[in-house]
Amino acid sequence: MPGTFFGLEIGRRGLQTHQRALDVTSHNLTNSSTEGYTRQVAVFTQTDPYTSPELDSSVKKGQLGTGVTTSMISRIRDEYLDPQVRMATTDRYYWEDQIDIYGRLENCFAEPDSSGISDQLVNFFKNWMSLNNDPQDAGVKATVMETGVQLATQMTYAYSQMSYIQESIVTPGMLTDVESGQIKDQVERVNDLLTQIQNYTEAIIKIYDLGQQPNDLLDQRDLLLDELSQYGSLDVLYDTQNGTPTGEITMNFLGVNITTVPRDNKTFSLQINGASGNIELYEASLGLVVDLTAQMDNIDLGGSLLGLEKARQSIIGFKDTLDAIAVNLRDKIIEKNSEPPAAFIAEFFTGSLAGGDFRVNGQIVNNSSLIDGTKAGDIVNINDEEMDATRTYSLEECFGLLTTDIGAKAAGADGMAASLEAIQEQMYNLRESVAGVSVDEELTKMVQFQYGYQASSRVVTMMDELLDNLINRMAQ
Amino acid sequence: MRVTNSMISRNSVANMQNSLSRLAGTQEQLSTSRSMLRLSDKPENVSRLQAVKGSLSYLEQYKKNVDDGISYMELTDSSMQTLNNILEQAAEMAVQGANETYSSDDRKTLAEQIDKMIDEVLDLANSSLGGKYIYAGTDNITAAFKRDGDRIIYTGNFDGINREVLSGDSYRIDSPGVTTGYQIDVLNGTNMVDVTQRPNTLGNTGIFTLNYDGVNYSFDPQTTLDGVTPASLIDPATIDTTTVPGTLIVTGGDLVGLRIDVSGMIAGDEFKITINNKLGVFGHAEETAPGEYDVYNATTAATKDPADMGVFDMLFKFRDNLMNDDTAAIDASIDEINKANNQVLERRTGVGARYNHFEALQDQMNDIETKLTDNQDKLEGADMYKLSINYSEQQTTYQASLASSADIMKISLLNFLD
Repeated sequence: MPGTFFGLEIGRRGLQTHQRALDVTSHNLTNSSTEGYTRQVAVFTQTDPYTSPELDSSVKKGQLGTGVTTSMISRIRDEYLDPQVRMATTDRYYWEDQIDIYGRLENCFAEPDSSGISDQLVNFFKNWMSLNNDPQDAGVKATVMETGVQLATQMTYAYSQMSYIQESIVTPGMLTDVESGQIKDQVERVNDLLTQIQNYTEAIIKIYDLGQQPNDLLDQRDLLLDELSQYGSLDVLYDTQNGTPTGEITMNFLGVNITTVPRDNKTFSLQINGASGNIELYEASLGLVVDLTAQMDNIDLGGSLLGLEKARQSIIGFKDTLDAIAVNLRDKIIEKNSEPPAAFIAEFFTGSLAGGDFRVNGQIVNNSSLIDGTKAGDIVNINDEEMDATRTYSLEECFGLLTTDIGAKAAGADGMAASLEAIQEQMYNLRESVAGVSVDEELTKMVQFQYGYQASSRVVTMMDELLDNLINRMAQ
Repeated sequence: MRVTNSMISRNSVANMQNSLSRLAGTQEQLSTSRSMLRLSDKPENVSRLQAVKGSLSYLEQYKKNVDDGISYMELTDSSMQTLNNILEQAAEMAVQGANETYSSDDRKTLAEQIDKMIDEVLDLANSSLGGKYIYAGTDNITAAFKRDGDRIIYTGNFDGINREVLSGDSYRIDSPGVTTGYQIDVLNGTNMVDVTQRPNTLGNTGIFTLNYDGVNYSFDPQTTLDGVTPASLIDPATIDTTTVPGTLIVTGGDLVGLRIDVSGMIAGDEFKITINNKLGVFGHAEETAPGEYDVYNATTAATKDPADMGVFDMLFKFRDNLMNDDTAAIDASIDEINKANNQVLERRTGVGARYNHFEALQDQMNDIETKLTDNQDKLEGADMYKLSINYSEQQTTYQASLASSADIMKISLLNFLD
């Protein structure tokens, strides 16, 4: 048989539970735009029913309900979707950072819209043609020299712009060090993320130990794991004990196992291989972990670290090609000019783009009459000749191939990133569909809980009236 | 699928961005009327576009070269026409001079007229176009022919004026004023002598013979001479070596290297390589000092090979015959002058043929230009009709996405709660 004030107790429980539920709803509503937030639900459960062991009691054991309580505040999330979202993120970011790089690379060249190196190359040979027509004409010689200077300037500009972009990805420091650059910044961010993930994990474990749900901490840790997956492939194993999570995780980042218990202070750093010039990812205790340059096409590892290195290697290739054009042009002119009369100079261009000193011979700049006009016909022919035994195309065609390659790589990266972004977006939406906050839904619940609260308070008022009647008015 | 507010706003933003970026792309193409603005727009066409643009640019130069060649040849032709007229006149005078009724005084008067005629021919030899003397080779800034009494001196060179009219294909546009012989010293103890540097009278096409002491010797065109490949050494495969030893017909290109079999010769022997049948317009010249050649010199005229005798030789000889009152020789001069006239005519025919060729090239180039411009337009031009339709479609899509986004984001249960 329950006590006299039993009804008040049920009312109190109802008030408290609904207030708690309203708190959770408010938490959801206010976090509806928070990145990585997972909606929470206050789980209502009946409290244990009142037990009356008397033999003649008309109320049988367990028959009398005792009210409501929140058994837990649970987090509504489909954890099976996380690995898929992360894999899609890794794939997407392999291309995403390349877009920016290639976009900047395209801007190093004025082609195809306005006149750039290809037009200048044509002008250069055209002026030699004019010189061939008038081999003694001082004015034409001066024009040949001027176009040469412009061509060298444009090529040097394009080359140094490409070097600048290359260095923005990796700036070499002393010996094997990487001084700065986008890849280095990202590796530092990875280390920072790993530290934060460890810190969150420690807190999460403690809260699980207390038998509570560390919902918001889990959200924040998942958000960090999502970000980590941008930089490279990431697998996460969630540790459980007797079917319940302990909060511990084991990560596999770019093939490196990282445990949270015992705390595993893995720290990554970059080195430039002295022999091969490859960019290598090192871990303080494991040594060489990933040779980024050698693995740059390994889509399974993926992520922006490899993507950036891939773009950087492309830039190095483009620079080499442009330099080859400059050096080939320089050498061919010397070859055609071999044995010029003493009054003239064989070297029209000197230096190389790689050496940073590709320019028209200073003596010719000072005095363009040092150009031997009788060789002009041979020099014009350079334009039709194959560059060398391995490059069986002309200088102009070589430049055409270079720009086509840059354009194709830019378009390719753009297309890949767009389609992978669409995939990632779909995965994200799937996850969001389960875990996201729907404002209307929360508002509906809010109204529901509000009424629940009002009803509970009504119960208390009603009990108050009953007890008032009993205590103050009875047997007067 | 459960839909949340943040999904809607995220998707709305992404869709708006997509629509806007498509719209901006189309707008950019519409406003520039070009479909290739960046390397990544149709990268497969970048290389071709550059090639077409380059070809068009070169074509501009080739057209200029052809125009240049045509004006050069027009002047060459008109100067040779005048020369023909003069020679015809001289031939008529030779017929008169041979007439027995003429007195020696009459012949002396004729001789003076011929002397004036030689000056006239000299002026023709010094014809110039735009400050360039057309019969002076490439050393054409100053007049190349000078008369010093009974001597005609040539100070030009023997390089041809060439104009490239197609990629790698250039043609000579001038007619050589004079040609020159060529001598090689035989080296002691070697049977072969290499010829690598020759005056350009041998350049381009022609028939060459090597003659020593009445015997023809064979040419052996080489691809390399002493291991060195001269840059534009002719490929023997393109040389038509006739079966007659010592005669070489070059049908194209510029012969730079020759190896001549000189077995049986002794040191100090001299060869002569001559162009077989074509003299320069004004004859043949021999070097007397560096850069100075005698076209005619009274003191050496008697020993000159008859095959090398040109306009000046004949006129001087005719004048001397008139002065000497030698009617038999005057009679012979009629044929000699006609022969010189024919030599000039032969040169003129050559110029005429090249002139026709260049005119045909002009038509061809205009045709190519039209096609290339068309090609360029197809490669980089934007299809304005298609773009305009796309543009309005994309505009509709964008407006619809904006309108629906604005609408859906306003709807909430909040609007209906008190």
